[in-house]
Amino acid sequence: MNPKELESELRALLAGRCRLDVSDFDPDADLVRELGLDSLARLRLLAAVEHRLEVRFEDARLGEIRTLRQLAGAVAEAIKTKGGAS
Amino acid sequence: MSGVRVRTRELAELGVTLPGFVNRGKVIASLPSLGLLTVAALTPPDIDVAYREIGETRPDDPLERFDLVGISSFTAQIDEAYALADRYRAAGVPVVLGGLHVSLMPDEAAQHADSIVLNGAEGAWPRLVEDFRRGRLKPRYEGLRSGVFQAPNHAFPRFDLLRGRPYNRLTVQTSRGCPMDCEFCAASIRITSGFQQKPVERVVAEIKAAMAVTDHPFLELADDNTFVNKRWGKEFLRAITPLGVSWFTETDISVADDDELLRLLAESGCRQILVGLESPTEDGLARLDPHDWKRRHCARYLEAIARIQSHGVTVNGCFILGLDSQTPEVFPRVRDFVRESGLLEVQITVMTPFPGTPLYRRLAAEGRLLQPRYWDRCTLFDVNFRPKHMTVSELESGMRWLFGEIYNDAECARRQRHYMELVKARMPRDGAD
Ligand code: B12
Repeated sequence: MNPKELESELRALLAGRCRLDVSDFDPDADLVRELGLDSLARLRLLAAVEHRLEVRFEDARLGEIRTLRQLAGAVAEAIKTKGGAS
Repeated sequence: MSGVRVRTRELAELGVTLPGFVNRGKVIASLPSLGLLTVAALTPPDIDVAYREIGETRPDDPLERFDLVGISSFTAQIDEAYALADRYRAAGVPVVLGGLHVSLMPDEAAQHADSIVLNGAEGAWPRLVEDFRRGRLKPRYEGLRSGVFQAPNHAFPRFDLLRGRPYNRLTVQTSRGCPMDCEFCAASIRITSGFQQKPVERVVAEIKAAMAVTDHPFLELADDNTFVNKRWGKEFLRAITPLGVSWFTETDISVADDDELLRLLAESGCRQILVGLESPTEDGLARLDPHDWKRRHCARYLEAIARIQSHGVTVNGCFILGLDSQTPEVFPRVRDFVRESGLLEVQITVMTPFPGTPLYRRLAAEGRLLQPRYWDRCTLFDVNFRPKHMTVSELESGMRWLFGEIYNDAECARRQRHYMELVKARMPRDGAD
């Protein structure tokens, strides 16, 4: 999956979880403070991403994933550690 | 400390560095006063009403002009409330004080007010306003202790007053009181004469009105124990499911006994329930409530938490440190229990003798209060009494130790991972939830 495809996949997973139009928001916007997810909704989004893309984020990094860009970065890293399944 | 009140300096400093603690603090800082929105609703429609937060007025700001000022009260911030009341009265504006602390300490409050209202504003405020219009404000009014949710007493909170304000969470109340009647409780049970519940259709209408005034609302029920009546509970859950809200409430562990209730809870958008577990062992729970209900349910805590969380509803488990039957052994026991239970969130507080509670009266009679007046330390984190089986400093340092054990990065990450795995276990292949 290339970065563009990954981003649109993530946007799709985010759509419906927040009330804003996800097509044109800033990838650096804070998921909780700016996009209106509550803290559990943020975790459910991470769970959905793990489930859908069959990856697993490092536990110690969970708290750091606060924007769409960081989420994409974490997915890329998780894919790499998994052994290059892309 | 990001919204959570605490006076003890070491704890305040420690608190800022603990991620699990700071998160709750951010939430706490952002809720409006449902008490005042209710008072506004009881005000005749020909009178203009304005809602203000006490933090919006600094002691050196000029006072805004009003004909009458009503101030609500919890114990921890009562001195700020009194100071504002004194300023308004010095400027010739009559002040009415109401709310929990005022109801529990009426004589003290009366020294700072032209009039005080005890119990719910329902049944008192309309009379008070009429008396005020006629220039006959009385020094004290007794609001209702029962029938508050029945016509014609019930008032529909004025959520519209919050329009344009930056709240991301709102409260709606479905009930007052709790059959448990724990000795330490300083919540609505102190201003009601029994458990009272709103009709479901009224709660639904209030939730809709609350949702209409804010963009990304998360709803907190301002209840002490929402699911006392399981039949009412199921009717309520079915009714709010179509509203698509995310919400949180406080209730007791018995919700775990009813799988249908748990399924409906999850479907209705309930994200978390806060449960007063109080102590991890049976001996720690002795004589907490008159029926020893919590002690009798303690053995099932772990299984009940697992069952609730398996439905995708997380449990915020609350523990009280310094209970009379606890020894210093309680600190590692709470830590072990928290680890074993997989609780997503944990709230550790210290036993607090709020003035006007049975606990306060007992500790005062036993000569165990550390100071005669300590209201600004009624934060649930500051120690104000001599514990029975440990020293004050053992309790303080034990609590700090436990904070470090429970709210550090690694433990928070572990709890978050646990929650994500629960969510994933319930997900279909496409990642919807
Ligand atoms: C929502 C809530 C909050 C919100 C409060 C938002 C707000 N501005 O009101 C937030 C998150 C900010 C909060 C903070 C804190 N809270 Co709090 N909170 C609650 C909760 C869950 C619900 C309260 C509520 O909304 N009740 C519903 C309304 C309708 O009831 P009410 O306020 O009593 O109002 C009625 C009457 O009292 C009266 N009335 C009230 N005000 C007025 C004013 C006038 C003029 C009149 C006439 C009548 C009147 O009429 C109203 C309608 O009947 C309760 C627990 C619970 N389950 O009840 C704890 C509770 C109130 N909190 C508590 C505590 C300890 C705290 C904190 C100290 C925690 C901390 N360490 O930071 C702080 C202190 C805040 C402060 N200002 O001092 C204690 C207070 C005990 C006490 N006797 O003071 C409670 C009871 C929980 C507990 N553990 O025991 N809290």
